[in-house]
Amino acid sequence: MISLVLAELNRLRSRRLTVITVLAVVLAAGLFQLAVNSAVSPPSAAELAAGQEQYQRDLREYEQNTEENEQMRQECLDQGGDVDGCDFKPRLEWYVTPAEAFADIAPTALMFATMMTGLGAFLMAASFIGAEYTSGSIANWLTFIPQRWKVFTAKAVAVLLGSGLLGTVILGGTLASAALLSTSHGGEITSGQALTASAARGVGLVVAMALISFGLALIARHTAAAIGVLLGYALLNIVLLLLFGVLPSLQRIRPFLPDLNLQAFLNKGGYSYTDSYPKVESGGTTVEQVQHTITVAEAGIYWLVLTAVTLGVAFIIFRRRDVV
Amino acid sequence: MTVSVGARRSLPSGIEYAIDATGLRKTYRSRKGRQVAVAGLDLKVPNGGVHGFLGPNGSGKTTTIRMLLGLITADSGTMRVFDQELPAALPSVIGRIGAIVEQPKFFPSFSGRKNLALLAQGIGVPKARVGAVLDEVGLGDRGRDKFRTYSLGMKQRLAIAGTLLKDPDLLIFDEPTNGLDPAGIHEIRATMRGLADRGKTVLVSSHILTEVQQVADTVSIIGRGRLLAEGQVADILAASGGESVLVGIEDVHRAGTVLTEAGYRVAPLPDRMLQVSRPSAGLHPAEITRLLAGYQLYVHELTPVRANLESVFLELTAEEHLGAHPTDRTRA
Repeated sequence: MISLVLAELNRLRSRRLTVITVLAVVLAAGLFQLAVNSAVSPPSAAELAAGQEQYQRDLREYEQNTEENEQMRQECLDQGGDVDGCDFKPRLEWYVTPAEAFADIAPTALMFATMMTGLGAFLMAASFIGAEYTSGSIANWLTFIPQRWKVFTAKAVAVLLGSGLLGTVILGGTLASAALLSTSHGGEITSGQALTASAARGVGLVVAMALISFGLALIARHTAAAIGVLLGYALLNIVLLLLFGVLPSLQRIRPFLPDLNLQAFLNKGGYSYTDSYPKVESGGTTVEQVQHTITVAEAGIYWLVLTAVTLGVAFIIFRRRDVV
Repeated sequence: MTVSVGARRSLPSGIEYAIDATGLRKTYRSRKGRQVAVAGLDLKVPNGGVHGFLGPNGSGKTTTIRMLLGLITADSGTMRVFDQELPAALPSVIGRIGAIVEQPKFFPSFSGRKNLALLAQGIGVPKARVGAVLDEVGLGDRGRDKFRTYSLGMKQRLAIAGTLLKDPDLLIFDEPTNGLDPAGIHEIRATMRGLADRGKTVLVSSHILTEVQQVADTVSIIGRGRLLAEGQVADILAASGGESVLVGIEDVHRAGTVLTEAGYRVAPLPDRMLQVSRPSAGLHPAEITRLLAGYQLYVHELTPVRANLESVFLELTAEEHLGAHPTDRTRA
């Protein structure tokens, strides 16, 4: 069994698409670090001077138009705005952006890296299986190892290890790089433990996406089919957003949507969202807003079940299906 | 007409079989309903030597091979390879079987060597064996080239090298010379003969009869998923009645009836041709023309044919080409 897993890992790492995908993910994650660097950097003297100058200019202009400002403020308050939000007097912090804290920027960097790595792993796994059916080599392989459970397990383990390694390197690298950039600009590292846990969950998500893709490609016997499911879901998401407005009761399916569970699993506090239920009454239409939260644990179970079900169905089909 | 529809058996009893399958059946569901690919096939492949597995396209050869290899599941029937019941014992017996099903199937963007190295790693064969089998099939110099750049002949040789990784006792080649040029065909034939001479059992499926006749020791001829004849090549040729005559005539049905009533064995062929033989007595083409002319049936072509596997095959599988049910043939 070990030799079988090693052979599958050998094939996975030797595939051109694997190399291209890994490079693309590294590049995307690397480019995002430029944004992280910019966010954690304190404003330069030139930026400070330029911000000050613009602030003074806008303040002068504001003070010259008192009547107009008061009118705008009143309109804002009438529309339900709060006092602070309706105060349009320029403030210096609007013009000179302070350096962002590591604890604030790292979750965004992790979310981006998880999405990119997850998509990369999805593509890598789908193609890993799809290529076997496209080339017909799965039939050849089975004439060497006819025990299908062994073949299935070896391939799944290879996908798990490959995507796990990719996720660990990219997400670990993202977190380490963000920490390094932050400290190099004098920032403090806080929430390190929570962020490390979030990165670890991100690795889990990358592995889950890869295994789900592996299962889908095995069921459909084609790379394009697995990618089609992903694109189909993206399309469905747009349709659902439109439908939620028309059929508010449909919002009940939200806890089962993968993208919400993805965010819930990554964020320390899960993911909160608000469902809106319009009610037509005699006095007009009122909107009842109900807040929901998908906890980290719920999202974890969701991904575990989704992965297990996909793999289970794929295994049953692979074991029983004729290879022609 | 007197073509025997039941299987002719001329394999000696008491022989050891590498493959012994009985009553194999496989049906597929399709839009047209259930299609019978293999209909109660018996297949016996003696240990050692080259065994030709012959049948027209679509007669069930590849399906049978796939069932033997566990790639598809048989609906019914029993299969034994080296006296072990399949598919239950396939994991333990697969190490003794090397197979190429239809076209060689490898990863096109990997080199020949890489493809074999992966297989070797998967089954725990030492890496050094890859170089040895590549050399054995004459691909040592091209091993590092991508599989997609190989000619069909090279792909076929790589597939053979793959089967040799296990040093199998039974080699199954499904239409191994499809698309090959004459040199390639000769090379594959020599390889198969060489393997058999080393004591291996080679099962080669093909519809190219001349190639099989030159290399096979025994054959099984199938049609519509059933065994039509089996045995040693020489015995089958002898049983077919030796010589025959190809008769070209407009009214093949009437001519067939006249000849059959006169004691000839007649097999219809495409293009208004009949294959005429008389196993029990001598065959004189002049008698045929005289007989037919007596019924106002005039021959436009008359070609004596020496019995070969192709004529036997055509005779036995005639209904495959004509689409007639075997039982209808006696009324033709």
